[in-house]
Amino acid sequence: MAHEERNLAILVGGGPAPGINSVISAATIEAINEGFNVFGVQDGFKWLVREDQSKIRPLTIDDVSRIHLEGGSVLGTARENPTKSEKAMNSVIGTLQSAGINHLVTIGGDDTALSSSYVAERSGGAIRTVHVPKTIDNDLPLPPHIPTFGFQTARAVGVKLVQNLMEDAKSTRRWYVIVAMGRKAGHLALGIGKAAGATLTLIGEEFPQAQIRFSDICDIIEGSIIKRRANGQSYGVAVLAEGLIEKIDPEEISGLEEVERDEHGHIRFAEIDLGRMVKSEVQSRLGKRGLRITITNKNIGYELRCADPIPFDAAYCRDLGYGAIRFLLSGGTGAMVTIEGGKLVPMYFRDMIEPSSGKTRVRLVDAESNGYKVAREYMVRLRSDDFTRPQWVEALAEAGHLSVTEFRNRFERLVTNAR
Amino acid sequence: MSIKQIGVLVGGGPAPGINGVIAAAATEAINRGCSVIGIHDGFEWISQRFTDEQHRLSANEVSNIHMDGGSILGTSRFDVSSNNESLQNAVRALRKLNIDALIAIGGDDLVRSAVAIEEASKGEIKVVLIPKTVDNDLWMPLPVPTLGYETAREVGVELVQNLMVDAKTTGRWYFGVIMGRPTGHLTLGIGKAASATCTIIPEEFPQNPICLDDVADVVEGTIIKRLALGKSYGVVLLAEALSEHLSPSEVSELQTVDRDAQGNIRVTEIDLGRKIKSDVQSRFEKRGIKITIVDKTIGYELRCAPPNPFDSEYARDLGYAAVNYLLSGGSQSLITVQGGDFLPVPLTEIIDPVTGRGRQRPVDVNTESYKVARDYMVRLNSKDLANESFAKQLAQVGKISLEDLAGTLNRQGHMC
Repeated sequence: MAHEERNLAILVGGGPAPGINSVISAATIEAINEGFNVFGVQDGFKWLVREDQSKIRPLTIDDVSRIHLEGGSVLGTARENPTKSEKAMNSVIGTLQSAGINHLVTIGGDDTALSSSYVAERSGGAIRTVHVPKTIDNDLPLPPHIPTFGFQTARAVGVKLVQNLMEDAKSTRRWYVIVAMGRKAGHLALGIGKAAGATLTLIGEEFPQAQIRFSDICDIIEGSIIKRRANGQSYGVAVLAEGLIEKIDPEEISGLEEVERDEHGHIRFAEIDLGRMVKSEVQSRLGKRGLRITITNKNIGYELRCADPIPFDAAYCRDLGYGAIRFLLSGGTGAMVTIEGGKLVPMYFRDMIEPSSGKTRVRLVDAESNGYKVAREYMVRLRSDDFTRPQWVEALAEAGHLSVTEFRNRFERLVTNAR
Repeated sequence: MSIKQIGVLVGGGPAPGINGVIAAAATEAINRGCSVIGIHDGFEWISQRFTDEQHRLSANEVSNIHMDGGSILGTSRFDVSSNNESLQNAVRALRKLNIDALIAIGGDDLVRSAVAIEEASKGEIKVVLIPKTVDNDLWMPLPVPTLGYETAREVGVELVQNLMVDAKTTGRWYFGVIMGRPTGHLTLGIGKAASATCTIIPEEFPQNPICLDDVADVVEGTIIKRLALGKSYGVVLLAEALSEHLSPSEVSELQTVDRDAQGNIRVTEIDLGRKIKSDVQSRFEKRGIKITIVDKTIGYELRCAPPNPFDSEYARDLGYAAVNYLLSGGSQSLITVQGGDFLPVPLTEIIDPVTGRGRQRPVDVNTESYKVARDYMVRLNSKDLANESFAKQLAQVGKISLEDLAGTLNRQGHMC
């Protein structure tokens, strides 16, 4: 085979994240400069699965030269998952090939990464693929210190909102219970909570056991409310990771109406109102003891995903888009591009897959890390040393309108179980 | 009688710019030889005759707070005029603190308290009010916004813009429910500036109460029209104030209604977004059309944002004007800034004779300004149906008969 035309397509899958357009822009410019014809595929795998070639359109430098600081995705995005059936995957490969595509840049999270690896494999190498890891959830199996692109911007916007709510909580003397997006992983919740200095942040990873009880979550928050009261502060902000929902004993939440799941079988976390459940449970517990505490619940997530990228993500995404093209030019395929210490490091899909499930490994928050320890140290939560001084225990019990025995029975197990 | 000691307190929900008023008032008062007492948490403590919480503000303490969100004095919704004992307690507490004049920073809720305090003290304590609320609904000459509104809407616009890009990127609809009670100012202000697909406020409905079906009709029409225009996404903003105008029987179905200390429905407790979402989604589902809708509430995160330059400058003017007006012998007025002039409006002019509270200004839907907002929205209208080929297209994409489509337009205005 002599010099065949090099045609490169770019597509975006999964939820939006700040920086997508920066990657599209950087990859397109570099590819065109290297002699590729570049095409944008609209809406992820959605139209490819339907064998609709009309959604593959040429991209020029002019199309992308001013989009790198804009949120959203000029190519749209979709959650369509072609790995679910042989037929869908064949449609994708066939449609790309009949459009003459022999290189594919995918931008997305774990599901898109998997689809990308399938395309490389099932096309027998006829389509070389490279994946750019994107998610505000920060949950792809990158080295510990490397964020997924979009995470830093999402957390910057989230921190701004939480700061406003912290100020509001103080001004109006109430509690906010905020549920932050992030699927199974607590990165976004903890990233926001730690940076904003929220009163406490609760993530699924802090519980080593597979299942947790909804009432334990409420106990922890109630404990913080009581401890703050004992410290003379009648307000606060609790940030909860939506991933907690997945860990809650299904028996306990089965009573909840419509537990929706998306195309990939993930629970639509955003549809379960954990914040509202916690608010009404904790408020009524305290109310029964004559403690009138105003709790307001609030969900944070959707409004973060299409923010304009902060400089960190804008620059990072240029590296990633450029890196993706360099990787293909070097003859590579079937890998995810990462930047480590300023260097392009491809990460192969086979190294990212959990052998037991065949799915991409999810990077969770390491609750044993120093970073988590620091976050935890600055939270206001009941700890084992709160139960050592009888006078303080009395003060806490009084602040919670409980007897010392009741207080110990209710809360002491939380701190002994934890460590 | 000359004024020696001025008290400052904050009532109602927080709004950007409160600290700026506190700072400007305290600085000017101190410069003019007065001392200033910061009263914590509105009327909450002084209505119980507690005076310990209160403290003298120094120029140093307030010199750097004007750009901060929140309120260094806290705030409270406690209505001191709700019972005589609280009122007498508050007056005694203010006298014990040697306060000759009071600057009350608050919205319509605080008007009644401001009047009551001056009356109960037999005019010994002069009271002026600073028009603060993100709702922009306190009665004032129309072009003048209330303090905090412009910042709240700026932050709101930023969030709605993100949602608009998200809607387009993911091909879905967002229904944003925006705080504001009982008017649609903040919702319309955000929707117009961000150019949301459609913004629905209570003022546009001629009838009262409003039916949930009418709201769902408008939303459904918008979604069908966008589909006919080849767009499967968009953002609809709904004023949470719609909840207050719904027929009581419909509201009671939605949720046990909470009322706050002043008897207002805690409207956020009614999940308007979720209700409209499920209604509209099921309408489309019945006809085999899958629409992804996500509901989103916006409001609390706006109230304590750091003030934008407009509000931070406005706060300084208001604080300064309040002190000057008091020191020149004025009282019982709402401090306003109109075209650079400080114009105190007598509280008697802004009291609603029926409720005794501050008069509210609804959005005037007969203005050019509303017409502009409305003309750029995507809404189904009779012109769309008069155009035969477009009407057919609408019916086709919406999988709805032309009669039913026309029905959704005609139904508005009926009783539910």
